[in-house]
Amino acid sequence: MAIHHLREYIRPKDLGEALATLHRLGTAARPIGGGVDLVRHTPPGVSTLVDMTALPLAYVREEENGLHIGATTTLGEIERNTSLAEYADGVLPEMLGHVGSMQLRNLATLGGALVGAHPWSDVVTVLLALDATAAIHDGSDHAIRVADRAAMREFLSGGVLTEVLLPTRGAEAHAAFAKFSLSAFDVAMLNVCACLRWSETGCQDARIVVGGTPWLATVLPRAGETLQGADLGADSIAAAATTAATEAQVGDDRRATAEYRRVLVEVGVRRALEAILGRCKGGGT
Amino acid sequence: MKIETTLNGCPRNVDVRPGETLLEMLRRLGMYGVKEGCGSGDCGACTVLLDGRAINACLAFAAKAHGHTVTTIEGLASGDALHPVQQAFLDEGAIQCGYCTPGMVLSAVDLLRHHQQPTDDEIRRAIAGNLCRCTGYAKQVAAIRRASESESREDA
Amino acid sequence: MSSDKQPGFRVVGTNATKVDGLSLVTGRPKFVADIDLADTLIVRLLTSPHAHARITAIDTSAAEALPGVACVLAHTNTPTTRFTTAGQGYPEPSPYDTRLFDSKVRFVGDFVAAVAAESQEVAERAVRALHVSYEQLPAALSIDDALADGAPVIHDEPDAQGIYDALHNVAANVDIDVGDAASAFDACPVVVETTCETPYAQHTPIETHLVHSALDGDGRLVLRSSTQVPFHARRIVARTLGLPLHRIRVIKPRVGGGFGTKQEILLESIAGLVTLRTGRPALLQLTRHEEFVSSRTRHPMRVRVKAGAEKDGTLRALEMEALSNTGAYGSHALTVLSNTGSKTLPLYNKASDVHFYGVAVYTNLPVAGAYRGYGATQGYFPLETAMDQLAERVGLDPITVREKNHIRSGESSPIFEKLGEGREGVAFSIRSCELPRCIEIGRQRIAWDERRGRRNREGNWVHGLGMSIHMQGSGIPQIDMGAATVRMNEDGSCQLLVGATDIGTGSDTILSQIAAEVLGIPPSHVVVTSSDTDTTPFDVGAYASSTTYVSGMAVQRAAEKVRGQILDVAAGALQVDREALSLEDGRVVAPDGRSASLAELCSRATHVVDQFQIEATASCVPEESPPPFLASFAEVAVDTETGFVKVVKYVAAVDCGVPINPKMAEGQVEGAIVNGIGYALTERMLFSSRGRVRNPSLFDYKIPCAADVPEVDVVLVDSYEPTGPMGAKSVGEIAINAPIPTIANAIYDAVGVRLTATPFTPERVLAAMREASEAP
Repeated sequence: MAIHHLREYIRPKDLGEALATLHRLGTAARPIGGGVDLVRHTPPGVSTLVDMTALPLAYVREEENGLHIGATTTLGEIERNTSLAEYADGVLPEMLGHVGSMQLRNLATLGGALVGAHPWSDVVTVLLALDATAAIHDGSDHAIRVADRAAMREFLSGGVLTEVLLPTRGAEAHAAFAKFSLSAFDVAMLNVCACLRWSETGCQDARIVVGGTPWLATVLPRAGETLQGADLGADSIAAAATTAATEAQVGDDRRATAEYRRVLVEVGVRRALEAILGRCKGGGT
Repeated sequence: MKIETTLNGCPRNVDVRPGETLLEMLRRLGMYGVKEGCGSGDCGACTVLLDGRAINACLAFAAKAHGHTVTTIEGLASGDALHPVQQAFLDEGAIQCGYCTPGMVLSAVDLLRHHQQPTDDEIRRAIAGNLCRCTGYAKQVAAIRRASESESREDA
Repeated sequence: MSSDKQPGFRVVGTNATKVDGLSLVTGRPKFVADIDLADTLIVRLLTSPHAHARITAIDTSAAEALPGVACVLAHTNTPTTRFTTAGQGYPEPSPYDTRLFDSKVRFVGDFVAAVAAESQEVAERAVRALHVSYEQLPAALSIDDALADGAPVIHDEPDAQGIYDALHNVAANVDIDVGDAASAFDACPVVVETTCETPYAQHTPIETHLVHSALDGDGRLVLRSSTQVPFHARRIVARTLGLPLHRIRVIKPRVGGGFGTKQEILLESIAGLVTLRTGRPALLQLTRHEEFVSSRTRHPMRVRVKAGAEKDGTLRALEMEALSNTGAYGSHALTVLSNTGSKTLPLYNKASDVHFYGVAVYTNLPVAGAYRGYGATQGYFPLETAMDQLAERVGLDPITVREKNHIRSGESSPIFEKLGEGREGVAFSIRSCELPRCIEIGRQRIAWDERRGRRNREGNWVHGLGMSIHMQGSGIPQIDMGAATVRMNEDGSCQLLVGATDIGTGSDTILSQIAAEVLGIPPSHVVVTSSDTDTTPFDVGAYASSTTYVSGMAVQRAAEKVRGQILDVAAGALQVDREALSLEDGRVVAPDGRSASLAELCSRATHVVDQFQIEATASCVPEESPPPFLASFAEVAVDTETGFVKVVKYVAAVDCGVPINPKMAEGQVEGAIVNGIGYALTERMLFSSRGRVRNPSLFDYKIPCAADVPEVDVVLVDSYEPTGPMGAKSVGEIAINAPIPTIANAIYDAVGVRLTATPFTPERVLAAMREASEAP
């Protein structure tokens, strides 16, 4: 169980020290939040861990430009946070209720989940649907859209994630999450998150995201476009779901076949949009 | 490397290896109530409280305990007085082989400290990370429900 | 929920607190690994990467040269004795086809070598430094592959014993007839047939297999093992290592779950040999990965049931054909196969003509062994499916078909005699059967008449109800033996020494209740010592649902003898005829009202006059195996869009005779049902094309968590078994057999599809629904 080739565990005093260590050691050093992924598997070349939870990066702050969530905020803290319960129908806490166990959520951090980016990750699916931005510090501060995977990879190779920004959303913003898994404490066979703005002029900026396909979450732009300007109702929802089912790339793995996942995409997108419909019209679910 | 932690109410200076898990450290210190069931965070038998919140000790580096408090099952009872959750487990017959029990009890303690009168659904979700093969969970849920109704939960 | 205390009992029938409850709930160090390991060598295993291969060379020199390595074991330097790892009564009805380390490997995960070192880190590094060359052989990765012409012979060793037909990979064979089933079928107006399959599944005890070995001060080998079978372990280790049996002591401390996988002598000889070679204590524990791959599993089976009946639903003929995959070694192969028929078919004794036959086949896959239910789990799936099909065919309610055909009190079945465990069985009649009451209660509680056939909808969820009935056994008649010693202390308390093996089941507690009942003392005055081959008398161990019925009777008899001795002492002390005395509430009372406390009498016998140790030992070999009975009912909801199945409500009504401790009996049923639900809905081991397990972790092999299952409503119906201790029967296994057929039948009620292979994953359910709707 112990990882024998780890030689050093550093609790940096500040971001500067953290970065300096990471630059000095290159790939031999890894920043960790909860460290859960690293405990489960430490690549052979890694000798040093830099514990980012030593820095004051656990917070949820409402500011002008949106909600700032510090990178070392645990998933449990996010699940319990009252500001996030109000944001976009509380889709983040809603999703987190399905992630792992209570124990895992109390240790794993938002940063760890985003950077670890497991293909079944429910967290990434929702962050993508919310069009979140990652703040990465490599000596300077960079704001990279989570959706820009290439840029995320590039900047993370030389810097550290310090926080995630969720753009300001008003009362017109709605979101919902759906997950299909064999058991309650299990990773997804498929996960879905839909996020949109809804007003008298219909739906705007709908983002429909599927993940665990078995690959990491991706946006389905065509499915989202079917809702643009449309009223949200049974027909438009069906059209979006059907489009999503053909647009999504799905594959086989231990958990499910591609064929079955395609069924789940249609059902999941439809149910997420139906939940949003309920929230728009009835203020419920 | 040396870490300073508070274990079951006692400040301790402990020598740990960088790659050592909290589970290994705790058992090394004689906290045998912290069990290994899988070593990968899937069974919850190693559940302990870190600053009052349930975590899997097998998923935490030992060094994470530095500057924090850790509570294991050994630190739950006060002298001869069992914690209400422990007493409820005994009274409800919620213990069979007992291997999952310490972890399950601690998850319940976390739940009850932060939730007044949880529903059965909330109880089941709180212990979803504690696998048990013996009991089918029925009496464990009943025990936690019973403990939540007991008035001494305020002191928990 | 549980029945009231049996009238007349003081202690039996109460929910006495578990004797080990306090230590477990406070995390006291009671399990094998809960010791200071400072001086202990850590043992790690090298296992085979190939499904079938000969080891052509093994070079241990690099491993041995590593500082901190104390000992390396492989086929080149270990005993060559062949044995069975199955913890069964001697002579074991399983082939002696296993070596400690063999020169041939027969499945991915087979033991190749062991390294003992000062630390886990060094041991693991040394394992990686072992150089092994293999000559790979063609592998048989399914029953069909193994039985095909030209299949590789998995056990071609000349010195194996007890294999039915090694050349054709048949480990065991069973074929019994009652009457002439073939002719009887011809005469039946109604015949139904179904074939069901159950896959590889693992017990996943939360504590994996482990053993600690050490030499005591007299040079005897002491094994502290997480085992269900300490006495069988002692015997088999002695034979394997060539040690006299009396130089070995096996102790079972607290065990973190067994369910059958620890009815196996898997690691003890390896650790013991390390200790013998090095003189040092050693700890060998399987990782979770190794637990999945290299310990034991359930026997995957394909079982066909044919049922012939009259138009009114009365059964005339039953045929069951079982194809069992026993994996690479034949542990429990014959007996699990036999139980597939012997614990199922007698339930329907109205079928006068029965044919049961089958084979257990070797494959180059993980080794199947004992798993709660022990073949009956696999057999009830097609049997209870066929009964539902029969009901539909003749236009009867499924319950009615069961009621017409199930065995009743006073009746028997020829199968009891024809099908034993590796030898002929024993004839007996049913003396207690409350199955009709079980069915009645379950029917009401699940609201069978109100909710079945309605297909009530809740959004996408369609509801359906299903049921099934079951019997099991209580021990193995004329084979199992359990013994107990009751010894009075001078303060009127007693020591209870039993070989019986508490693996979390609570046997220490219920046995103390039996002793307390007979002696008229509180259970807290019974000090239990169990499962230590040096100090406790023999017991076969925890399997075959034997502990309550067999070991319990031994305790009752021993306590009754001691009670007699106490009355003798009292007769002398009170100067009254022994026959006139009564013992109750810790006092012996004379007709004129004078009395003496147990403490006074025991102190007198220990210190004062005519001193002797008040003590008795008694054994029990059962002559019968009175079955517990269970009626199982479930309401499921099926998501018609995705195929997800939820168990919404589960009711199990059980006849286990008098429950010695009702809460514990319920606990056995509750746990077995949830395990069964996992086997029905989510559990299966997956294999690569080269025979490697693809999901050997709790991350990928999903067992139910608390959020996956509903509350299980368990009712213990009033019953009394005259041959059982205090009227008890056993209850440890029966309930695990119910969820698969009950849920399958409920799914049929909900969405009209019959699933015949577990697990009923959402994908399979959806595919079946689509296929059904496309059918012409």
